[in-house]
Amino acid sequence: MRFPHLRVATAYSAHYGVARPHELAQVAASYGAQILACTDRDGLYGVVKHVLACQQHGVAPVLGVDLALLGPGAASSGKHSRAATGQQGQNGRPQRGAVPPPRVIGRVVVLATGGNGGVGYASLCRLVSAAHRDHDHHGAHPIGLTREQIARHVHRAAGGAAPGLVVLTGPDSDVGSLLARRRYRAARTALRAWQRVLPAGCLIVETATHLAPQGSTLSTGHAVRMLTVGREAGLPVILTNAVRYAHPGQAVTADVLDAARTLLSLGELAGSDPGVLQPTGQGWLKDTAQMTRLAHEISSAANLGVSGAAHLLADTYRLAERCSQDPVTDLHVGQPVIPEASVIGLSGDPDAQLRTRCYTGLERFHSHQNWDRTVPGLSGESLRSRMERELDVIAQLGFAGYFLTVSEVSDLMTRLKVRHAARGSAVSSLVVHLLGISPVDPLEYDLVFERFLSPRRSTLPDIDIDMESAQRHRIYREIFQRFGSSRVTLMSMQNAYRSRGAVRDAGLALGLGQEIVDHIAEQLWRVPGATLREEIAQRPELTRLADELKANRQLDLLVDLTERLDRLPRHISMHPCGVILSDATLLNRTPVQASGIGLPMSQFDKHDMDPMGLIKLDILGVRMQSTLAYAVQEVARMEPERPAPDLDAMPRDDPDTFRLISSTHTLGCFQIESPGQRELIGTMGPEEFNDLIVDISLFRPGPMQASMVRPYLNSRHGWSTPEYPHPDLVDILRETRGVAVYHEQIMRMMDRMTGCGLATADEWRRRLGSDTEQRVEDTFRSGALARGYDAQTVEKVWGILHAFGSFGFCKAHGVAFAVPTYQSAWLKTHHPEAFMAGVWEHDPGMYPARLLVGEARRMGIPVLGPDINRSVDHHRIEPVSPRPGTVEPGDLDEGIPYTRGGAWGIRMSLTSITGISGTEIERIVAGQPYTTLTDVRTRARPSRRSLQRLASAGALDSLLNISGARASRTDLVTHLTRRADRPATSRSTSAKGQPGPGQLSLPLGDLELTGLPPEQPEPSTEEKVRAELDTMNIEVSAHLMDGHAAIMRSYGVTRAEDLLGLRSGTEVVVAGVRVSTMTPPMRSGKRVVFISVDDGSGAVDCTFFDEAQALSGPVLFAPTMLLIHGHTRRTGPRGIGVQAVRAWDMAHPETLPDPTTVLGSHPKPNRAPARNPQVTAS
Amino acid sequence: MTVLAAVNHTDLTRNETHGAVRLDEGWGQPCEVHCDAAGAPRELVFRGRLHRITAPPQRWYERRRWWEVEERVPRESGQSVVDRQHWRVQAAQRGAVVPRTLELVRHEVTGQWWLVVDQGV
Repeated sequence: MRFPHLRVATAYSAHYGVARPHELAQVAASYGAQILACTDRDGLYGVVKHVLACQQHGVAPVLGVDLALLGPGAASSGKHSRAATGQQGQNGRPQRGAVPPPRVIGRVVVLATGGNGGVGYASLCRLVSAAHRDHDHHGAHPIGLTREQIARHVHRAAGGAAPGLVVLTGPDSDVGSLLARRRYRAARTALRAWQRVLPAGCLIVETATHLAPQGSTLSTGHAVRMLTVGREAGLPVILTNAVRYAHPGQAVTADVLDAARTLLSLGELAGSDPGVLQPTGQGWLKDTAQMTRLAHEISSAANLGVSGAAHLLADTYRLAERCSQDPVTDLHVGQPVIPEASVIGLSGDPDAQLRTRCYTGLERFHSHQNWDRTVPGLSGESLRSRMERELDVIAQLGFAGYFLTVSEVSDLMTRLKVRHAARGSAVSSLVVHLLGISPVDPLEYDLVFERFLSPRRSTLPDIDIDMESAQRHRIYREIFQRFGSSRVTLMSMQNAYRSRGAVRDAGLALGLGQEIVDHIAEQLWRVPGATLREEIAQRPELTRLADELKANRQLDLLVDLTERLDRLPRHISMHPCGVILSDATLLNRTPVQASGIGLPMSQFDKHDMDPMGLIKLDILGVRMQSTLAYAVQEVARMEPERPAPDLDAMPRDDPDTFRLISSTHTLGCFQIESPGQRELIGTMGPEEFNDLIVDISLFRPGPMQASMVRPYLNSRHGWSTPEYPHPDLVDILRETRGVAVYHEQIMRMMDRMTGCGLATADEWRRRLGSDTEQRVEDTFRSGALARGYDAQTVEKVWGILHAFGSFGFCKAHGVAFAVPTYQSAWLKTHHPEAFMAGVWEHDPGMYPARLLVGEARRMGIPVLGPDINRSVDHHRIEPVSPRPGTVEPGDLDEGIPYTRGGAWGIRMSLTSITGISGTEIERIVAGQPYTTLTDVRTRARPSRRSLQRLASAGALDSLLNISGARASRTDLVTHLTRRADRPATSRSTSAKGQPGPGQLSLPLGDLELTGLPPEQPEPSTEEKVRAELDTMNIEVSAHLMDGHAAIMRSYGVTRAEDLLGLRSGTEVVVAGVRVSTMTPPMRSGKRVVFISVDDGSGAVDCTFFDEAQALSGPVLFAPTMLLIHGHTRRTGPRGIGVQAVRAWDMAHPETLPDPTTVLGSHPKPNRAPARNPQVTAS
Repeated sequence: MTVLAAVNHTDLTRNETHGAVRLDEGWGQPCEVHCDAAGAPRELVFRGRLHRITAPPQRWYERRRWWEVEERVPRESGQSVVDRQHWRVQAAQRGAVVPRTLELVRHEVTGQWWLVVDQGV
């Protein structure tokens, strides 16, 4: 037998382990190991990946945890050591005050035994959850368990039969650390204490040597002492290598992780505490020969000779076999478990129950239709026949319980009046629609059920639900309530190092100054850390960094260490959408710990779900759903006499809505607000809902790279006739004008030409682009030829399937996305104030708040600044009085929504003012309205600084008006600033003139305000904007660029709204505030940078190719206000952008070019690199 | 155990061809060592004369302050720069009665042996 490593930390031991499970399994397999353990620190974070990696390499997995051992939190170390020797240390503990939380006194490894139907693994899960429980409730309590707690778990796991858990006391256990200090007697006592509390056969001594210098921990001498003491006690002693990495080269990374974990530099660690840094770099996965040699070194140093080594290795092999897990019989890998029928209120047959619910759905959603009439379309089915067919498949697969469970969750949201909708391929299912999970009737859009589920797919389908983001936590809690926390837990996600975090921690390890590290980290905007050196060499904006690298050895090292850290797991957190639903055995199958919102979360991530038979429901908080809900609620609030719009039930064919969409004034709308999307909709001009589905499906990296967009647009505009490879395929490809866009089309083409059936076609489709594509090709070709298609047609169709098959988009998902797109555009068209208020409130899109405020201003909606009496803690619409005469009803043909005669404006929330606490805002809102400043102070009790910020933001202007004071806002701000700057005085001073509790203030008016001497004029617009940006990061009174009018004039800047009137290729200078920066992947492989700037009249989308990137350098990613020189580039009837030559940072006037030399310099237009005529399908 | 005792030998290393070996770590003087199959020293050439190793040698590793001396630590590297292999050997010249205790270091990358401590006879 080859050496089995039984103590191995993977990279999922955050800030400790270096190598990933597959790497470790690969190394183990390379020397022929049959067994390999995964013992992560304080969790089972890496076990599922370990099990899968082991399966792949034919290695049997052993599972365990490297657990912190807790002892009493005694005040003096003397008590601690006594406690560690088993005398409980209870005497002498101070009686008064709280019991101090326990301390970590060492570590032990607990392994699950195997071959017992999962008893060992279940006990391990429970043990790990228990180790987190006290810490979850009380942060000062460390993660871990005491010896007695561990013993209780081991006893419970034994349960009469063979033990389910074994405990390894190793070199870093309480026993081991005593032996490191040669305290033999204390160590023997500690070991006896373990023997006393654990059942027989559950205690094992672990020895290991990292060949550290004599006297150090993990020296061979230390290992000898472990071996000797263990043998004396009559216990099995096993050999491990306390592995942290796969090979010697990774020892450096372990050092850096030690520094990151302790927040100390390597120099500090090496100088002060020798206990933190690994004593040597020998903790790698050594092979059998190397481990055997270590066994012999230890044994001969212990004077036990060759037989001693053999004994040590035999004990190790025996334990490894005892703890080997069978993935099927022990871990039940791949066996999905759904909640018990009783939990979802089922007593009878789930299939019958599902059918009953579907008929209820038919009556609810389709009461006016004939259920037996064939719905037009390629499916050729009626509502009833489709439903029955789906139910048959679901029954055949035994998934009815799953559908009912999801339906239960959906009903729960409906009951709580929370907007939600299914997303993804589930939208293809009529059953999903009839259960109320999806608002979309799949027959209306001719969606293919087999894309979602078929008898040929045995894995549970995913039903993903989008819901209002703002209600997500509430819904999670309700789900826990409904199903019980023994069946529900949240899914977690691994947060890995990215380049910036990696640079920071690597810099810390090297002891570089904070400034140097910040300076470098700031430059790494979306730079992949794993190939940092290469990136620095290539990217024009990093040339300065590249020069610094050459001159500085430490920076050179920093880059190497950053590359080493990049992508390593840092910590787990709650996944943004995964809820795991299972039966009452859930906590035997996954360990849990508290998430950030207090609810328990699994230590497993999304990749671990299927293997562990855990069913997750993707419940994704979508800000747009909250936005829509908020807008509808605002409409209902303002128009109580009318029924609120029912977004899900309304027909999706409003012409005004499509005019708005085609106008490209779509900021704030779902999916179609990005510069690229605005360009695409401007070109295609969507006229109906199906166009939106096509648009959303085309605007993906795949179709964009595979040139699918151009042929579609050409034939849409009538510039070319759609090309169909064969007349039989016309009805399949007509909806996208001959271009295969959807997965559903690919499936139908395969089925039409070979008769393979849609279920098989979906299997084939999934294999396109994989290494088994060849077999699909052979079957397709022979099938199509057999059905009489000529070789040329088959060749042509296969070409399409091959090229576009893997790029296509699931039409059902396109429909699911197009619905909120339409709904948001409908609201923007018909209820623009409510919609924009919703957009401000929930920030659903990609743009900064200040651009969205600018958009409302551009639409003619009065933007009303925060007001102490009118603002609440939301952005709300309110009637504007007197009606501003300046607001013109917008011209719908221009796509500018009108604002109901200018009657409504949006009042900004008090929350938009930064630096004011939530409780202050709560008190302000509760006390409204206020008549005097004193009134505000007495009832709302804002801090003096908050009061000053309210005044700067203009929120106290109304008090000035009410009081009739002659002082200006500037006077008030000066007055309040002076008070805020004054050192805190006794309460009597500030309370002077305030009535005591229960007394009314005398109606004397606001003496404080009327008494203010009017010294300064009202702030100018520019001053107001500066104050607004300072207090809210949003300008209310005017646009930020309005203050730079002089500079813009001097450069002859063209405004965004005027660009559309220019000829393509006109030389221009534009300027504005950056609102988005994107570097999408391009077919040519060259990087293109898209920067959009906003100048108050709209956004200008600028494209930077290689040369412009090189000229602009560091200006590309960091600065906010940009001046850009370039040429106009027309992208469609309503689309125009700028192809940049160069950009400058407007915040640094000294770096700006001479205004007289820019325009008219006729620079060579900076062209896109020549397109490679071959389509590179990657 | 310190290796700095041999710093006075560092001038010898300047002519060394092993560019990766840095002087400020005190690598001592190069030394010819013959090993057995397991890689343990069997005999060595000291002061021009062959010495046999008379007792089982002791092996251990010592940490290095790699972050102060290394130029690069590329991720792809399979070599540890964290520690160095040390050997303490008892070596005796043919005919000598009392062996000397010597401390040797083997360079991981080059395989070159260095004598870092000579504790004399």
